[in-house]
Amino acid sequence: MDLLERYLAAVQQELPKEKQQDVTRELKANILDQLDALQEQAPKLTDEERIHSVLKQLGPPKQMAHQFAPPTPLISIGLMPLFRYTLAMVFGILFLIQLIQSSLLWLGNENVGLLLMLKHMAGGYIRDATFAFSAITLGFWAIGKEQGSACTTATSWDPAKLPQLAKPWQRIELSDIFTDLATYLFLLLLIWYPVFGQSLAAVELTLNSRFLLQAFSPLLLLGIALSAWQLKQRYWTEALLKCNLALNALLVTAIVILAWTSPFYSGVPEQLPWLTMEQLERSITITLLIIALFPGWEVIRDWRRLQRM
Amino acid sequence: MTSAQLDKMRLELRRGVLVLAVLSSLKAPHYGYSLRKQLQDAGIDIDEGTLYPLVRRLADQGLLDSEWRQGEGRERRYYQLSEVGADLLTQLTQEWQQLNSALGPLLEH
Repeated sequence: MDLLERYLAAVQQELPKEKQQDVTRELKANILDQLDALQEQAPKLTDEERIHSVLKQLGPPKQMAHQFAPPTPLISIGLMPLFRYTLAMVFGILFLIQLIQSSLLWLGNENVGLLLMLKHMAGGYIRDATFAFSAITLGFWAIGKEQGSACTTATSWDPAKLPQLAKPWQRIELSDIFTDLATYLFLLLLIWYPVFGQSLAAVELTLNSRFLLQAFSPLLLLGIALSAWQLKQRYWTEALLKCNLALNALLVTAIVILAWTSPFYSGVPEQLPWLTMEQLERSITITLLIIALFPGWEVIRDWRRLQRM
Repeated sequence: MTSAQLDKMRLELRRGVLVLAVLSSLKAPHYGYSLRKQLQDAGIDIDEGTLYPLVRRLADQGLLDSEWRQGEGRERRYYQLSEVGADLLTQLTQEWQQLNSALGPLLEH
């Protein structure tokens, strides 16, 4: 009988408090009935052997307890899509906030290098994301508890409002939108910080190149607006594609103009004393032309997509 | 098809049918072991680890009434269909018969 009591205690331990007494009482009664039946079928078995056989048949205590009281997931299945979407949005926004904070730190402090800025950003992001994850999970857990197991089937949806998604590429990934937003915000900070900030530690641009960069700022603002539009409507339409194509074409033009602006730097930075001014300018031109390839590739991609729509 | 897939599908197929079989068997009062015996005699083999929790779930849903009784020097919990359970059984039986008559010709092809 010791084995039976141990089994019941193990099952009890896995059950919610309010069910412990009642379930184990009933389970014990059922097991005793099974033991009686087994005694009739196999009279030669000892008590211990019969108990062992019946318990083996019932399965491990944890499994048995979960059959009586199935474990409920922290986030209910019905809320899972919304939970994942909320997490993705919040993580994206936190990334942007962290990017802005770290960029301001980098631009405003001579002692903070690029690596330190990235470390600050990664550390801050992990801290904020962990907090956000915990808070959102707890929030959804509370909502799930409030709703219970009530089925919330939507009956008022209109099929006519379904998005016009005919091709797989029309879906826009959240990560792509937030990457674009982060790029635009970072560039805007880089360009405008010297105007509003205390000092300029990392960038020593000529007045001419700085003026050009500032003149291109509306393009970056346009990019932010376009990303906001994409956040609202998560698939490519003809209008959105045309806007994106136009924006990227303008960005290519702006970067190419910038590449041929000379001189770009007002002098060789202290950190790169082995470079001549000519080599520095050539490196900048090549780098900018390589950067221009990215929006250039998007122009070609969007053009081809527009042809296929 | 792997044996695991077959087991999973068999389990899904049996799940609903078992509820019907249990409800139907509990028109008369039964305790856990006697219910299992009755089902087994009718050709429905169900292990205790599935049956006992299933009966409790049905009772929690108000489909079964239960009471503890003393007998043969031991206490046992007896279950029987409640009024709600009886109504549900009538509807489920009709549903089962419709499905069965529709499935029959399909399975013969």
